[in-house]
Amino acid sequence: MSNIEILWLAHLNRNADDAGSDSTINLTVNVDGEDVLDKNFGSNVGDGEAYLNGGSQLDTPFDAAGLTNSSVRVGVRGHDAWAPGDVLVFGHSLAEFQSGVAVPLAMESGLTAWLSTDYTEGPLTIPLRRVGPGDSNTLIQRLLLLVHTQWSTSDSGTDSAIQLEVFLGENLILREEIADSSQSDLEKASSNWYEMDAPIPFTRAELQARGRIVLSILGDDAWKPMVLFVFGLDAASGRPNEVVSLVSRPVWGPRWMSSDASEGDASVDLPITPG
Amino acid sequence: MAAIDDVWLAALSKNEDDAGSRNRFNLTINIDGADVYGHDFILGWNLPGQGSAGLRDGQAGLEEGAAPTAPFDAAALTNSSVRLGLRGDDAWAPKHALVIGRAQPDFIPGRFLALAMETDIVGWLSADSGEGRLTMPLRRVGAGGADMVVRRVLMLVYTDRGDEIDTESDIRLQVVTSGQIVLDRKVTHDLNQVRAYWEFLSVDTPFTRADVASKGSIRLGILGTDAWLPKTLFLFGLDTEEGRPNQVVTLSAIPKWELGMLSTDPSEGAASVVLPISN
Repeated sequence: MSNIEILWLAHLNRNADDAGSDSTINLTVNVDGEDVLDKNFGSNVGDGEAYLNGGSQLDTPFDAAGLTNSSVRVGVRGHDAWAPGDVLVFGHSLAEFQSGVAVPLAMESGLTAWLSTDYTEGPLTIPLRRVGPGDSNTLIQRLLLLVHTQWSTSDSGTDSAIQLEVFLGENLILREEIADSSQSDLEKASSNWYEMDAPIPFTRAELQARGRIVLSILGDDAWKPMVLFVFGLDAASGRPNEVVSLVSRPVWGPRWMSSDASEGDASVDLPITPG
Repeated sequence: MAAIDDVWLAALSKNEDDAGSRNRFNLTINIDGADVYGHDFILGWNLPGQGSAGLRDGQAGLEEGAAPTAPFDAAALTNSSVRLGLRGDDAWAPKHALVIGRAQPDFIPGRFLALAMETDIVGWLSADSGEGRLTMPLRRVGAGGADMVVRRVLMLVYTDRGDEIDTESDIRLQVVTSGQIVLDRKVTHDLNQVRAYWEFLSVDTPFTRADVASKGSIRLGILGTDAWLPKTLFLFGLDTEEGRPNQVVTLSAIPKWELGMLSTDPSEGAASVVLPISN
């Protein structure tokens, strides 16, 4: 199993009034009675919006194999109640960070609780159950695209739609256009959480053997992602048991995306997670 | 297997400036990813005119929480199962904390057992990230058996609200096995209304609960005429002389005291009573 040296927190708030919160989010990871991580995230995103943060090196790396379903909890440090809908915690070792592997650790979806320090509003913390990292033969029924758009002095966000496509050989088995979700899509310095069904389930091994994942932009409003991950989920709906790393780009690199060739790439083949 | 249908929290604040807190104390118990218990404890009360509820510096709390929505299996708890948190930014510095559960009656009457415990806790709890952690783990302690060697005793006692039920008299706990006094300790502070006390008592000679049950006794007495009526008393035997125990055996558990007033004045109560031994 992986030695987790870098950790990420992603969540999607429920699209309900006051679901967002400016309270600091607290994440704890406990292994056999010892808190190996106690970290605060200044999420501060609104109703129906997504958050993705992390990427810095942990003071105390930990072995993902030591986690149980009781190990990971997320809480809130204020009384501005928070209503997350989906939460994913993942990480990697330094070597995996470099090589395009992300290791899912814990996930919940379809949450219903409101978290707050105010005991009349909801629980202080909730558990995030362990998810397995799957393997190259895990059948993928759904994709999760997590992306954070670059903050920069120029306009790195875009109003153009983007598109994710999955090919097996010459066969297009998934195409999802992302244009106008309930989130603030692909805005500068913001994060997005997009789930998409895979009408034809597939495996990472198939992708590695004869497939591609292609990310495209469908307009000329240039876009500069900063961080991008694609995960495969083993459940067609609800909470998955296995979450498979498909693409891990914790550092996107210098290239912009645009259908205007003078501004960037119209499409890129995303590197598939090895192994 | 012990199906827990009742949960108590005991805690002692450090005796230093601002160690107490008026915030509620949040306890969660998780088994395999499901929160089987969650409750916000008050722990510290005051009489009218004494200020708001909460634990003061150096003060102990002992409180029965709401019942779990369904009994849970104590054997399924792990070291990651139990967490204690604070519901606000009035930072709290706990010194010791103990979670107690009552097992549903099966072939024997319902019995109390220690579920999780930390001692000599370092750090503070607060919702304010600049002040401390939001929550902390309380590691599992094993429920010691009748043959566990007791090297220290923890006495938790609570006195309720009422006329003439608190005392300024000293009290005394004595444990005898086979005619030998193995523990004889005097507790010298006042036992006030709506106050809990957490006392570690050293033993003169290590003993087992089986020794006490078969040919011994535990006796609680009072050393003065200021009558006292406790409401709740727990006695636990710890397997370590100091620091955090690994095993905790219940010696006596009296959630609701029915042994009458204690006083050296026979017109007010008994000078001492024999405590029931847990099974």
